Amino acid sequence: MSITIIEKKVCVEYEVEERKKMTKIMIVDDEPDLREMLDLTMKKEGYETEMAEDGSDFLEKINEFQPDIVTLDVMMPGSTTKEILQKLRRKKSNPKIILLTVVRYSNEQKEKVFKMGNVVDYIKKPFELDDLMDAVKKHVQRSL
Amino acid sequence: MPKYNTYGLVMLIRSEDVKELLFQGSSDLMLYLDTFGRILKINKAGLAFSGFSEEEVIGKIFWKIPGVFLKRNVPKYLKVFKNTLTGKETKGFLGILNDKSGKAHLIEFSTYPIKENRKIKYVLVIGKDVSEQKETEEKYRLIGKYTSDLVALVTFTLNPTFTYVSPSHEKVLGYEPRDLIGKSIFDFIHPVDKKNMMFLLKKYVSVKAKKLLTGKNRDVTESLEFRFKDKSGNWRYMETTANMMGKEILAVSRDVTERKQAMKEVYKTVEKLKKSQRKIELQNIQLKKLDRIKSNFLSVTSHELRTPMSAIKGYMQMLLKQSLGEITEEQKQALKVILRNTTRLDNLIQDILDISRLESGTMKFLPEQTDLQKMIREISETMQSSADLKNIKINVDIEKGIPELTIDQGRIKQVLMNLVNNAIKFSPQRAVINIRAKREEDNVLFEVQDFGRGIPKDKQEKIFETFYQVESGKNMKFGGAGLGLSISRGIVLAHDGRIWVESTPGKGSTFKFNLPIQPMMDIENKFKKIDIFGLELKE
Repeated sequence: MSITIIEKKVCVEYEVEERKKMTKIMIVDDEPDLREMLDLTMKKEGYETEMAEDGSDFLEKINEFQPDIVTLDVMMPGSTTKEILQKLRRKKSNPKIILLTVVRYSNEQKEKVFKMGNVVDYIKKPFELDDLMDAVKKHVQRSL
Repeated sequence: MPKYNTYGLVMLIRSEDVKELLFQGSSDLMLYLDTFGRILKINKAGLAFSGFSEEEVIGKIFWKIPGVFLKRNVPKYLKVFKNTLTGKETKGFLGILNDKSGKAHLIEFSTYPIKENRKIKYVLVIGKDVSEQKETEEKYRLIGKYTSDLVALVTFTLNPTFTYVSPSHEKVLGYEPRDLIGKSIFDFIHPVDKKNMMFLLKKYVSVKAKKLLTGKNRDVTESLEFRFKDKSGNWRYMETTANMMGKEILAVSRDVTERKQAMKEVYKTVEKLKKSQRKIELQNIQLKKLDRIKSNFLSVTSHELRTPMSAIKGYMQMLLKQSLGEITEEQKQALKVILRNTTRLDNLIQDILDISRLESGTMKFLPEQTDLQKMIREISETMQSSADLKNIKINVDIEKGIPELTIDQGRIKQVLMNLVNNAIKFSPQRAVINIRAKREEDNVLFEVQDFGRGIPKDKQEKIFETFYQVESGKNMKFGGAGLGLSISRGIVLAHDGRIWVESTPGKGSTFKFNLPIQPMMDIENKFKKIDIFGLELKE
């Protein structure tokens, strides 16, 4: 690896780290332990975080918090993901959505999911923490 | 021309004028013969009928007029004639008489001796042409005699009685004709059917009346079904076609009792079938309910069992990464063991859920176009890290130009990874594992080969059974619940493929499975129909 490439990489890493401090992540999950674990992990990684316990809680808090990225559990009591995403359109906030799902999607379903609102990624539950963090990081990088 | 009943009447009338009038006015053939048989007088009807002129026949011996009678029949007529001369009347004697043109007529003759001064002087011959009538009667008689159908004539009244019964009645109903003739049909017909029959008869009678009034020849045929008592007292079902013929009804019947009973049986069976069908439908609804409950249960269980795993594993990973503070090497090792066993538990939950889904037919399949080259490379890369622990090398050999398959990539990956995982588990240190894929006719054949201990012949089928282990109890050296191969088999079967093993103990095993190249259509429906675990056979 030439020096310039290393320099470039370091620069990007640095910028990502800087960016993290400004990135707001909202964790929406009805499982308190999982929600708090994710919240803690994100905070340790340097993101600014907020938690919501279901769809309506999420929609209530979103205007005030204005997140950049939302990790959204697909199976929660109350409204369905589709309904949540439809209501989100009427809000001022326009975050990227990462879906956390227990169900497997076919290619066709994936296409449908990605057409819904701001969905940028989906992670199959149970996930490896590293995979989720990588996905979040990827989308932070993309918004650079 | 008015028609008179001339039988005998002629003799009673004294007035010669009236006698002459009746003689000439009759539509029947009439002639007087002297005691030698010579024709003295013949009436108009006789001349018209025979085609001869008066001159041609007067004075001629009746039976000697050329061509009128067949020679061989003459003695019969002579006998009747002579009999008459002794003073006896003959009625209804049938003879064949040819007219001048040679056409034969069947004549019913009657002969009367006529006396003058107490001595027989003349013979009056009256002949009635019954050709048509007899022909018809003969036909019916013949038909009646030889047919297996039941032919009967009954009077055309509101209480019909038998006037003719074919011999076939005996065979079918046990009655000889004389048992029935003269008796009312209602003596034999089931009371319930009598009502319908009466209704029909009234209709017939009215038709008859109309026919007589209007002279229109309405052909009335009715089909009816009724029960008729046979000689041993059993009711027989009859199917009858009734024809109105003049003063009589011609009934042609057939015994349909057996057919009726067979139909009854059929109806009964159909009813039974309908009942059991309804039962099955109900059971089906209940099964569907249960199915829904089961699949609901599975999806809830799946969610509930696996959600805690995410939190547990997440915190452990954080601890291991030391993002929650520094930990000692011992703590690190302990956490690694916890994490490894948590993963194992998670995998077991996953396997049990898979088995349940396969057994209940609720497993979801998501077929998609799959690049096999890419898929197998990914698998070997993923598995290499655990192979490295035993210094095992994974070789991949994929035939060039292998077609893309429409499969549930995730599930087929699961099968291959399971096979490779087993291969690693049962391989000695520093061994080699080969993964191969090639086209074989309409299928793609996948192979995972190891050089481990191998599987005895008698266990090569059983290893695909749920919870089966080659070794059990104390001898068990290798962990695992024995679900992997069972799940693999279910997934492969659902894809319309086949999975098997070829193995020589001590030399190693090659697990093989094939998948059809033709894209899977409606995989889930097909899957539901496959009896993967032989559940139906067990019952």
